[in-house]
Order: sequence, then C-alpha cells, then structure tokens
Amino acid sequence: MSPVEVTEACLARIDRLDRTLNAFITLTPDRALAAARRAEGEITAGHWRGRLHGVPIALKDLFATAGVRTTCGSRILRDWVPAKDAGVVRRLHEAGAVILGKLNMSEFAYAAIHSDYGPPRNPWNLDRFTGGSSSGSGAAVAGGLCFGATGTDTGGSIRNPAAHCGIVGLKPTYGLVSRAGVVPLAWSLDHAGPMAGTVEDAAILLDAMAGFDPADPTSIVPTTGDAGALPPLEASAPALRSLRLGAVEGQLAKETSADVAARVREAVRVLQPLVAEVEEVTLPMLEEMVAAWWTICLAEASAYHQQTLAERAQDFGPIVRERLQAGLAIPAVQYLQAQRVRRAAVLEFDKLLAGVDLLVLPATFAEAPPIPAGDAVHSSEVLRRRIVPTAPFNLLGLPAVSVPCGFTDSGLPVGLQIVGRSGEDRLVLAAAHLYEQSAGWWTRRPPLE
Amino acid sequence: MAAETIDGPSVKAFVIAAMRLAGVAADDETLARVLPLAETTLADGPRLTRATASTLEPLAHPGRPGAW
Repeated sequence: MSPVEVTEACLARIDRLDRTLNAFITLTPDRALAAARRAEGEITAGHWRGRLHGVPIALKDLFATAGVRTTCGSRILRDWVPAKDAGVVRRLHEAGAVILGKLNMSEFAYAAIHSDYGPPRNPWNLDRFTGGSSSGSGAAVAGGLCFGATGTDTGGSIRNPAAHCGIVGLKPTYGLVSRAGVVPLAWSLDHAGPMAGTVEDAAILLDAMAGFDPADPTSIVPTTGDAGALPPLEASAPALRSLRLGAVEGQLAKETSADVAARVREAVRVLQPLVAEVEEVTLPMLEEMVAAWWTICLAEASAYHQQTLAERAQDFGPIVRERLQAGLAIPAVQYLQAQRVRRAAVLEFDKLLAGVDLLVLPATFAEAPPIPAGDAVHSSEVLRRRIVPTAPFNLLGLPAVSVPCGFTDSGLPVGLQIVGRSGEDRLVLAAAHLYEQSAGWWTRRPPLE
Repeated sequence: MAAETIDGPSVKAFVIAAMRLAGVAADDETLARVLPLAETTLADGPRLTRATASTLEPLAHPGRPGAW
C-alpha cells in the first residue's frame, strides 16, 4: 500500500470505530493526507527517509503541535494552539511520519480523564478502561487506528495503558527522548516514549524520537547501542543468550492478582531457556521509593500548576484539582529528603544491576479496571498501590518496556515489564522482542469488527 | 506500601495554611477531598527522613543531566 492509501485506510477506520473507542481529541485528516502525498512523492522520487516515512501515527495531546490545538486533556488548555512543534514532533516530521491527530489522555497526564472529553474505551472490552495516562494512545494503537503513538510516562503512563491494551510501550532512559514542548506533569519524573503494536515498531518510533535536544536541559546524547538507525533487533539475539535475568516475584506476590502473576511466571519460563540464567531478586528500598515518588510527583505537579490553580481551580476536573491542592502542602524539606532517597536508590540499583542484566516483573498488578464513574475518587491506598510496579523506574530513570504476555481469565491483556540499566534501551527492546517472537501474543487482535 | 499515620488535626491546620498561602480556597468541601491524600503523603515524611539519615551521597545540581 502507498502512504496515501494506508492513511486513507486509517482515517476510514477511525471514522468507523472512534465514536466507540474515543481515542482522539483532535483529528487532522487534511494535514495527514497532505503529509502522505508528500511522502509518496518523495519515496517515488527515490528519497526514502526511513522506516517511518509515510507511516500514519498519532500524538498524545500534550506534545505541542504548531497550528493544531493541544489540550492536555484539559478544559484549561482546551483552545491552546501552540506556535511551534515539540522537539519530538519535529523529529517525527523529519522522519516522514504522517500524523493523524491528537490523542485523548488523562487531564494533564494526572490521575483522571476530564469529563469534557470522556474516557477512551479498551478495544479488548469496551466496558473496561484503557489505563492511563496515555489512554488514547493505548486505545488507538490496540484498535488499529494508527501504527504507533507517542506517550508520556511519569509513574507508568506509557506502560500501564500498553499492558491493559495489549500493546508495547517503552519508557526510555531519562533524557533519551526530548521533552521540550511537552507539557510537564513532574519534570524530574517525566519521560516521553513510543507505543506500538510490536516491539520492532516501538523501536522504529524510538529511533525517530530519540536524540539530543538543546531545548531540554536533561537531554542526553544517545550512546552507541541506544536508539538511532540501528540494525534489526534480531541481531542482538546471540548476546541475549548470555543474559542474567532478575525476576521480581515473591516481593510483589501479595499485591498481584493470581492470573496476572501466572502469566508473568509463564513468560519467565518462556525466557528461561533463551538466556543464561534467571534468578529471583528483590527490589531494594521499594517502600521508600514509592514514598519518594509521591512526594516528588505531587510537589512538582503542584508547582507547575500553582498559578492556574489559584486562578481557575474550577476548570480542573475534581480528581486532578484535589491532587494539585494536596501537593501544595508538601514541605520543602520532605521534597528534598525524597530526592536524597532517590539518589540512595540509584546507588542500590547500580548494585542490583551489577548482578543481573535485566529485571522482569508485572507491568500492572491487575487487569484493566471498569470505566470509572465521572468523578470517582479513589482512596489514597488504591492510588499508591497502582503505581508500585512502574513508578520506581521513573524515579531511577531506567528504561522499562511493557510487552504483552497473555490474557487474564476474563480475556484482558497482561503486560510483562522488562527493565534495564540506564542507557541500555536497545537491550531492553531486544529482550522484549525475543520474548514477543517466542510467545507470539502479538498476533492476537481485539474483536472490534 | 501503607503510609504511616500522623495526627489528623495537625495535618488539617497545615494543609489549610499551605493552600491559603498558595492563594487557593480551603473550604470544607475541598478539604474533605484533599485531606486523605495530603495526610498519606505527609505521613511519608518520617520514612523518607529515616531512609536518608545515614546518606552522605551529594545530590546533583538541579537541571543538569543525571539530576535524579
């Protein structure tokens, strides 16, 4: 198929299915078709830009897009039309991607979908939520509305919807993907990354998204072996045979539902003969990291939104407003102690990851929950529990991917999380690819039509 | 992953003060929603302090790569 044909096919599928899935906030069909025609002309003329050239994708609606409104899933920014693209969006344009539109998300990537937009629905079961905060990204990719999407992840917001929607989602090493022009939730925890139907597609997206950006002060130069026009993931297979995997199981057993735990155990059994060694490990300082994450996330988010909260509190959804208000009361000393805990945890994980190459654990504790009521308020304990499997790796800045590893007893997807050392994103993806190709779950599609 | 418990009335007074200093209204309805999360988060303070009590590792400069 040509870029124009595949773009038209995606737009037709969006037209058929998105009234149900509610994945998009803003569609840009004219821009998409113009980009597709441009790509088709360039490819025909022999100017192929790479594997993303002419491929239809979509953006979480907190990546600034020049001339296209960027709502952050909020009423506050409902009519904001940025003057220029986010760094990642610019890179995706340069790679020749066709951008179909902007995707639904939790308000400001924080906690809940605003009632102005309504929740996206999980393609595997329309009564279930997609997870969040990259909710529309999960629904759009799983529903086959686009071939990949961008997401952001502050405590699990790429990996959680990826797991719940049965797709692949990578939170890269902190700084690998620029956040310039991406509306922040919590600066020191925010990561941007790819979401796609397969690990290879996620790697193609990451190759385009990653790279140094002077507009992001935390941006890093990818080292050889990270992202960026690399050989196929299969090329890493020989190196994977010498890997030592650390399986996190007993430590999380009490929190993890029986069917999710069983699927993750089965996934580890699939990987066992393909690597050198699997041993059970315990994550150091887990309770302290969860406490530090909450302190840092609430404080940074409230700092970012403080002025808007004072002027337009009523325009936030109730759950986000409540979290922002709670964050105002965090003492500066507690925030700094949390950053010290973070530093201590980084050193502890350096020791852990000297003994094993990768960690494997569930991406979520349970299957996708029912669609929440409009302003349902979850208890503080529920909120804390949800982020435990993912947020530590935001605190640590380590690369972590969720790859589908089967289904719960009620037929909902389960995600296996694979975590690596800082800068070893490519190894994380290669291991996920090895598992994916061995297990074969990626061939399943949700029964939408 | 439960937080420790701390004295509720003290937290309420602290949260009201913090919200007012930030220019945000702290009416009863708002406080009823905000206090459980604020209490849980503030209760993390002692745990974080204990975890750092023997740490001599310096923090990075904020805004520099590797600042986490």
